[in-house]
Amino acid sequence: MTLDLALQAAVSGLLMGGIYALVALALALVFGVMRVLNFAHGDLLLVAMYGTVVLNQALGLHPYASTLLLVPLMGVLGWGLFAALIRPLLGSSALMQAQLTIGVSFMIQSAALMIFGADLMNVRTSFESSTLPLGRGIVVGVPLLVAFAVSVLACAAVAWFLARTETGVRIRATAQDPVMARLCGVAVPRLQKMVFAASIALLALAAGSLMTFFHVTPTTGVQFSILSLLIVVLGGLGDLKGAFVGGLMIGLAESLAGAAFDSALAPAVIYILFALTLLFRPRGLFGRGSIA
Amino acid sequence: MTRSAPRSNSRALLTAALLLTAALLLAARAAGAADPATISIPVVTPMSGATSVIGQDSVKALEIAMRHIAEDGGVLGRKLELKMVDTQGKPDVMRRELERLARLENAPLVLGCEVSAATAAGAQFAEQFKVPFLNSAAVAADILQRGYGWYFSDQITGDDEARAVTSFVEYLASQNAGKPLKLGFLFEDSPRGAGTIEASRKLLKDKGIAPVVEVSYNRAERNLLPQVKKVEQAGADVVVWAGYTEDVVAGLKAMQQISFTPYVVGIGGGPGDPRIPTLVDPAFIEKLRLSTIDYFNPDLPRARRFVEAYQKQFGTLPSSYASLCYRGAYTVYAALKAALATKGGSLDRESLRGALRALKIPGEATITPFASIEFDAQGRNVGARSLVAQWQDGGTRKVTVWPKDVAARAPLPAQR
Repeated sequence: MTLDLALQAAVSGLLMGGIYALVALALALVFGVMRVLNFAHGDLLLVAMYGTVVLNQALGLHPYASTLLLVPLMGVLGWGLFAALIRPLLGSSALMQAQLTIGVSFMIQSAALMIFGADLMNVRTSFESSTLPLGRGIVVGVPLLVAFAVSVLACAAVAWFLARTETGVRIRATAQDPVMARLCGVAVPRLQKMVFAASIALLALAAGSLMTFFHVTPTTGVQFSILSLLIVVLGGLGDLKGAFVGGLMIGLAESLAGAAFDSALAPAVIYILFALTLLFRPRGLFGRGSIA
Repeated sequence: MTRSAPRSNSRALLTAALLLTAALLLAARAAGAADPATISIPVVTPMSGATSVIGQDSVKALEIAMRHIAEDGGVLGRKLELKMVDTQGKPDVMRRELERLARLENAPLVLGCEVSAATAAGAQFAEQFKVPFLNSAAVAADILQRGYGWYFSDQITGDDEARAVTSFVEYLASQNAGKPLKLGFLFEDSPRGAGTIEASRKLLKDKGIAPVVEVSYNRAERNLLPQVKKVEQAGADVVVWAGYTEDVVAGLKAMQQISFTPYVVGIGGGPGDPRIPTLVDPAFIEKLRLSTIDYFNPDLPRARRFVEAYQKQFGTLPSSYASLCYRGAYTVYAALKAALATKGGSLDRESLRGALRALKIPGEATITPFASIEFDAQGRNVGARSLVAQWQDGGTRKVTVWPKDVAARAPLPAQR
């Protein structure tokens, strides 16, 4: 692998990692506040991705324009899902959570297959082939760069919200100790519903970003479920900063491994990295994750 | 109300439920009772899972095949019913379903429109339980090297694809104005992609053509820019690319980003997917002179009836995946007719195996570029051969360009 190739892989990987970070952050938020690992997280992203395609085909909306419609719609979906499926799961065993959310995952995949078929779908945009040269022959796809910027801004907005607003403080208090938060007057059930709805709404933003350069099939969601679960555990369960950094790390590792190894070893690298990190940092990258 | 009333209510409810269940079961049995004049053949195909696009297209094609077979008189007047069975592209599901079909439903023969991994499991089972298994999809050549007596494949193999790659690349080399060809291999690292590339590498080596670069990637890779860049840096001006639609679309976009326009010779479902011009800029597709090694193209005159019917019913040209199951249905049809036409004709498994062994369908009677469909002792179709189709007319239409005897047009030149 030449230096130029390594730099190209590193830049592409880091940008991709920013989007992974946003997807994983949404999952980490849910786990942090309500201790639920949602195995259907990637499939809910899938719903938003198909929504982007539908809005593009029906109304000619650009993926970013469709997020204006999809964010509130996904929020409503999240609200309904919480009331119907997630609230009964609160406090239950990890096995119960896994079973139910994996079931939801299968339902979404099957519904996607029935409604949209197995064909690959994407959205064509005016800037899909635009690139930005960075010197030394390194190019960055503009859609990927914009998606990275949007994702990082979204993560920063979430961080700001949690740190600087009263609701954010309440959310952090609930994540830290839900019993004490309740005793201090925080309406924990309502807050949990709001956080779940908001995390699903965030997926609409990630979907809009992804659809500017990626595609969707009924099985795309599973890939992102596995990836985001991996990142959340790597970063430390419930640790948002860990999820962000973990996303960037995984994006980088995935890209560098793909460029360095011409073999089936390449995809194994991120799992090896994951295993090694947990071996030496069982509570995640920053040692702040909970032991689930 | 007396104490016994609630108990009698429960008993009444239970009795009613049992009666209703019995009635439903009887009705279902009556509805499903087989018509003795209908010959039912199961078709195993992935209708869900990662490879469900094969099953999706197969289901459509089989609907047309059944109609055409009925129009052609059926199996000596009897209706042929092809029943879809979802095997999800998974070997374990394939085994389970074949066991059910063979043991419980006494299937006389099974038609497979499945990926190589699942087909290999199916072939093993078919051999164990002596059920004729006709594969129309999987190209893995190693299944045919296992000495199975109950497995037949009317499909091309990776070796046939490699031969087509070699002859086409040799042709491109001859068109390169005397300059040596710089060949690159780019492929997804499953046995399908890696196997075909390995076979191609061996044959090309015998012709004195060695690649300047070989790059593999995982099919699930979301960003192929580094891999494509590696091929570009090596200076490849012809790239042989084995991939599926998802990774080919990602790779084509990466090529467009770095303005890398080699002559691309594709293998597998990706480069020839009829949906490619809607997924990637068609003008760029033509710049690449994107070609695909395939076993079907809608412009084949032999395929006109199938293509017109498919287009009329589904509003789109049939993919190669659709064609393979249609072809398989007609091979089954021919075998069934041959088995019944013999003296004391029977549709038991041994008779059908014998019918398949003796089958000789001329190429003109198929929708493929094959010389014929006839099986050797290993079950390989000795008449199978690939064609090369190329995206032309602004990258919007796939035109058969190789071999010359089936080509509708000449390939785009190697030199711009």
